[in-house]
Amino acid sequence: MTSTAPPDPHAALDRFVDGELPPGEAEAFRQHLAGCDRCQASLHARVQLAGLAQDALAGGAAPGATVIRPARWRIRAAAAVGVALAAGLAVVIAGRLPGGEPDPSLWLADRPARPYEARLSTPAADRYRPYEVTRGAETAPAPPLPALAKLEDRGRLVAIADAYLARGAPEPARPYLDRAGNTPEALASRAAMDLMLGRPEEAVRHAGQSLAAKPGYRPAQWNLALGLRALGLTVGAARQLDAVAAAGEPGWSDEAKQLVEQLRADAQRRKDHWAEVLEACLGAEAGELPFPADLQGVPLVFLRESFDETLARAGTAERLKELLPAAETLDQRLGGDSARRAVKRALAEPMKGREAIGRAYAEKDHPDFVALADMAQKAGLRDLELWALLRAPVGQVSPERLVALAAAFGDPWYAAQAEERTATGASGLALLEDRVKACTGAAGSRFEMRCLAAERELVAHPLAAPADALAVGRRALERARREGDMHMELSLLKLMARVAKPGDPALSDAYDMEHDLLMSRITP
Amino acid sequence: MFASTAALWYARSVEPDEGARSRFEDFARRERSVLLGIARKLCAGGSIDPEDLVQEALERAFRQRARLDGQPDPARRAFTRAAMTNYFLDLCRKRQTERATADPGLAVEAVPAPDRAEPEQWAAVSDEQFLAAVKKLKPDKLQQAYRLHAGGMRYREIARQLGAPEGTVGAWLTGARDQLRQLLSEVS
Repeated sequence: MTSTAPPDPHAALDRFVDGELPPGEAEAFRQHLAGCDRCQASLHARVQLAGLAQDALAGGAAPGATVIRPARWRIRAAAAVGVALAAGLAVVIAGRLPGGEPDPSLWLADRPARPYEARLSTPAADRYRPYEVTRGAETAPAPPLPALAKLEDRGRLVAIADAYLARGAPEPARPYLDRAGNTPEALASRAAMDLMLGRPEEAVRHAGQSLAAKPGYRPAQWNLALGLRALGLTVGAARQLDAVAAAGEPGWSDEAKQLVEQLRADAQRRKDHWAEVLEACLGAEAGELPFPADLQGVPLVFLRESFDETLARAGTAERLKELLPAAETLDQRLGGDSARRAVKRALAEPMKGREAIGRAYAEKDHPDFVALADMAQKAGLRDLELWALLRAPVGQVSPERLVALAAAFGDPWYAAQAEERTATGASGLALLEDRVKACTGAAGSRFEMRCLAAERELVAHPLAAPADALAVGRRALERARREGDMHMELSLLKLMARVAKPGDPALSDAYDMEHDLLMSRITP
Repeated sequence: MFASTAALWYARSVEPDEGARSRFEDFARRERSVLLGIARKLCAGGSIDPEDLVQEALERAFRQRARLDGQPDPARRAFTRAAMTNYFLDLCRKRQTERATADPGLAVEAVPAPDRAEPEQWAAVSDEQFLAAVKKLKPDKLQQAYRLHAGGMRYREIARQLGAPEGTVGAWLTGARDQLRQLLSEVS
């Protein structure tokens, strides 16, 4: 066996750690490493240094650092090798050359409609035509090769990619965009490609990068809006489209306005519905309205929790008795007799002290649930003790106390809640992934709630890979919206903003904006 | 009013507690991209999956979170990076043993798996101390090459930028790391 490693194998360590060895030599070095104590020890130091360099220096943030970003460097290098050559290189790198546009038919821009919703960055391809799903792409011939070759000679890689994208063909466009680098134009067209491939998160990232380099760049704003809309982030999408509409580009401006109207109407519908749900539940919890046990378009588990809340604040036997019909309706909807048993249990417990605990709870914005549980325990109110423990922060409650109390009730509704609360801290990622996998295809409100809880926990799990967490989060977000569960939606939006932040600030902002707007509508 | 409803506790219960778990989460998110950048290079062109390497390192740190929680960032990241390197070396050794078993003609010495992590040595190095050490790198071209490399440039690009052969760039970078190791061992 011949080795392709350099003569002194130890000497290759740095080039190996830097990823500079060709594949064969890298593999030979890994084999050498397996048996070389000296290189193993050095590798530790090299990895630590590489990490420190990335923490402290990457991105050129260090004071006085002379780190030059690759794009700028290329332009400087080009300048160094002579004006004529530099001009040629700049064209290759930037992928655009002013003037001398070829025939617009290369991008099907002469047709009356466009078959794709995104915008392309090549100006000749970006001429406005109304979006129509059924017309255009299927009948379009492949782009003529001589025209493409001419573009390639001139380094206009993005224009070539756009010719394919205009035909609804994202795959052939990809190699050209890969070579075109990270210019704002290439990134905006890349976002269009992502949208065609059904990858809205990628579209948001690429369009966001394009806008960071070229603020106000319309095709990027447009594609960013479409990506956000596909992710259900209506607020962020509407904001981008507002900017496009305000720019007054013929055609594009009107289409943007229409899209914004649709988005706002949809968001308004969801907000109005949630406001109604809250009004009904809040009124019942405060003892001012009958409990809305037959309310539709709201997760049953949410209603059941609101019922427990109402029960906890019902300080008199009369009020508790009034809740029996609602308990019956709830039980019919959920199956079982849990709600009725809860009312009867409350009625059987000493009434003294019940009202005082309910009042102590209602008076505070951030009640101390552990203290409330202790008060209830002293008063012999075991149902209120359990209710308070289930609401206390996980770390402040003894799991044994919670599980034992829930078990004593012999009610699966409380046992399941106690189990979920105590399992939160310890559940491993693999277990969680199994729970999420088991949700695929699950239907029906009770299942949906369990799935949502598992999915949300996976999104929040510190070890979940961000891409996986975001994919699961998207599914959960859709589920929460289908269920009309706005609080779960809010929680997911907040979590997803946090997950997306390091890799994709634009997406993270969009999740945050959506969260803040929805929140502003449901809090006083 | 809003705070005293089922809606709010429900919303609150879905947010993770801002405790050790949440702090670890923040740390793991920041650390993942650094680890992945290094892991991709270690695994380039081979059969080890860099994502697997990173995941294992973070899981090892997660298992130790009670111990790591409350420690400064440099200590936590030094631990995680050492854990990743150890796991990578374990995999290299394992693969070498498998190769030797499959092909007895390969003279491979069975080497035990010593953990040479020594994260303590790196656990005390802050970003500021590291930057101060970088500023001391001599000669200037060597420091420049190191900064360019840290900014993401390949050897070839640095060579063109600084007008030096690629081999010289490699020697500068090796020299820079040896100097840094020396300077930082004085710090810690």
